[in-house]
Amino acid sequence: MRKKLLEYKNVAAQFNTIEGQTNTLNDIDLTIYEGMSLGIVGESGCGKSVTARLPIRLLPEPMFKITNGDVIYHRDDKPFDVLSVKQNGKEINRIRGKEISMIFQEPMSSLSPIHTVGSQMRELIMQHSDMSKEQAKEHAINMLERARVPRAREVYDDYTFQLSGGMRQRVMIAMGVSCSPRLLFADEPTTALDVTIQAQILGLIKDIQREENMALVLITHDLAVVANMVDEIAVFYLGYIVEQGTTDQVLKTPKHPYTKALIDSIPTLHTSEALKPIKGSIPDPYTKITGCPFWMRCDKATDQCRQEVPPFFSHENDHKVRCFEA
Amino acid sequence: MNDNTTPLVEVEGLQMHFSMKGGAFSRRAGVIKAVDGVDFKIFPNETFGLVGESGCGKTTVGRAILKAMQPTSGKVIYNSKNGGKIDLVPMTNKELRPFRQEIQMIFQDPYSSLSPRMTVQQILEEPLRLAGHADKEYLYEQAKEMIQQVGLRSSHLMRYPHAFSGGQRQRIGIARSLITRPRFIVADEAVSALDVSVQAQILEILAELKNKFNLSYLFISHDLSVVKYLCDRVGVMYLGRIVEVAPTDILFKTPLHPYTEALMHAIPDINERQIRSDILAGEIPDAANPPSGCAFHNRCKYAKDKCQSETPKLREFTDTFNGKEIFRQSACHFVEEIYYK
Repeated sequence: MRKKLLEYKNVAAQFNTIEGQTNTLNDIDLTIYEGMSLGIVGESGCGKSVTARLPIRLLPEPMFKITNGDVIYHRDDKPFDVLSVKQNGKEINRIRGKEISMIFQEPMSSLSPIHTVGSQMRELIMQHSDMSKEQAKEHAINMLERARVPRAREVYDDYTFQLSGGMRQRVMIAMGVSCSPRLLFADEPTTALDVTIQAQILGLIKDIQREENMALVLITHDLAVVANMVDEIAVFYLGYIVEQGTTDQVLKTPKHPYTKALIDSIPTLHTSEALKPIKGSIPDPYTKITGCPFWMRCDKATDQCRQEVPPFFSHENDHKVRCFEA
Repeated sequence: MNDNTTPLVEVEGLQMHFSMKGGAFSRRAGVIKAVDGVDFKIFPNETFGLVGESGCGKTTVGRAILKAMQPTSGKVIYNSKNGGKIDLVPMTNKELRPFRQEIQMIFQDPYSSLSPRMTVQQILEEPLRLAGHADKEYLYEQAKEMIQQVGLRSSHLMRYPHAFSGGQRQRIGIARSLITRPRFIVADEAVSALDVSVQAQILEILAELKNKFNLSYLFISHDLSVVKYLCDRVGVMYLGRIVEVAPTDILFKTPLHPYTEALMHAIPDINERQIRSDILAGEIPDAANPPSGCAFHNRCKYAKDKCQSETPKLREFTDTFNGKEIFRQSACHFVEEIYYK
């Protein structure tokens, strides 16, 4: 029996901006278990990053508003509703960065340019433990070494602008796992990197996940990146989860037309089939769509699709799909 | 007249060096050889891909060809529509002007490359105006035709760029490049900023327009799978040099350079479920301080002593592929030992 770690229960959320209201998340139902690896895949505006920032309350409230649902964090078999407490209160600070940690896409803008690598890491470690300054330093260097930063002791005293992109991302990873989190969100961790460096960083994340036995949520727009990194995949489109299942279920036997189309529209190195692009483009976030979020771009759309949002239906072996026709 | 065996563009010994000035804080001054002796040819109606990781000089090559930067040395020979072969490198901006219509560019970022203060119609008409056309009727007709060619409607001409999505903006950018009926287009990371579902549409448009308007592309990208889809021939760059050139199909099937091989291994594939164990180690070296000999030797699994001391030249090889004889090039000392055993 897998132990629940984090649960999203029918979460709906919106941004209220001057230009209008966006339906950023709609009916998100997702459970993350201890030690599992989940890939969240989707294109821009699908709500994947918001989903990751929600449990540690990194979103600009009150512009960002949860309109429905709960996010439950399970610790010591006690469920804890992370939405019920203050955004920057004690309860969240205990979780944020320690039990649930995060790696961001652009390490240059998420690391401080005016502090050394060491002082940033030490601050985080000392915040969440009773280590002394020296102990924290040794721990930080140890973590840098685990993230395979060469000359870790020297890099500890470097500023982030002195490091290459790949090296910065290693520092970010070392920092992200330095408090032994139970869950690590990696939000597009390799999108800004070159392919040879991307391969190194993905391998590193996978190794650390195995060693630490932590849960990993990898957020990306690139299906090929998740294919060899995670056990389960959730495909997002316009704030809905449209398909969820094991990696094999989603990639080998996709059931939702969007997932199928997404797979067909990626050029791959090992096949030379013609691309089949999805017609149209992603609607802008302020448009209100009735019915299925994908019907405008779907070839199989029926009248029912235009009027009703399909339920998130479980098929065989817990392969969930939000489509009337699947 | 041009036939398909006379190259449209020939790049010979192209070099682009940037000097670093020693200011108060820089400890060293020297020369960055962003592009250090690059040769390739692009034939009519051919898409030539240039791939490599950041800092390899691929963008600089594109800019030097367009003369957006003045190359340090080398030749860019362009086989013009009615003037025969000309070398673009020594020409002044004024001399280049007649040829600007024939050579155009598609930019990476569809958000910053369109002026937010101009309507789509003004954006599309501007290159023609610069070329001396003034007849309003003619300009409008041309803009209307081109906007339809890229899959938008003529009613879109009255709008401003902010009203469009990224994919639509990229279509507008393509229409602007094509409106002067160019023969050669430099597309630098033209689909990298787009979502995958939209990226596929733009790739299809580029492929379709190439045949319709008999275009040649220099397609610069870091994404090998995109290059594989669109390009006829590919050049792989590493630290300012081309390390391998081959027709796309054969390059991806049997690479002849260790860097190409490593690059292909590093790309995650949707059908592969294993993490590669033979990932390329190390980082791309600093261009200001490149390794001696073959620039790739410190990351290469086949490297021998010779690689450290001697810079390999791009050599010609002949292969047979699908029953046809094919010419390709590789800059590795040990092609025969590694790949033709």
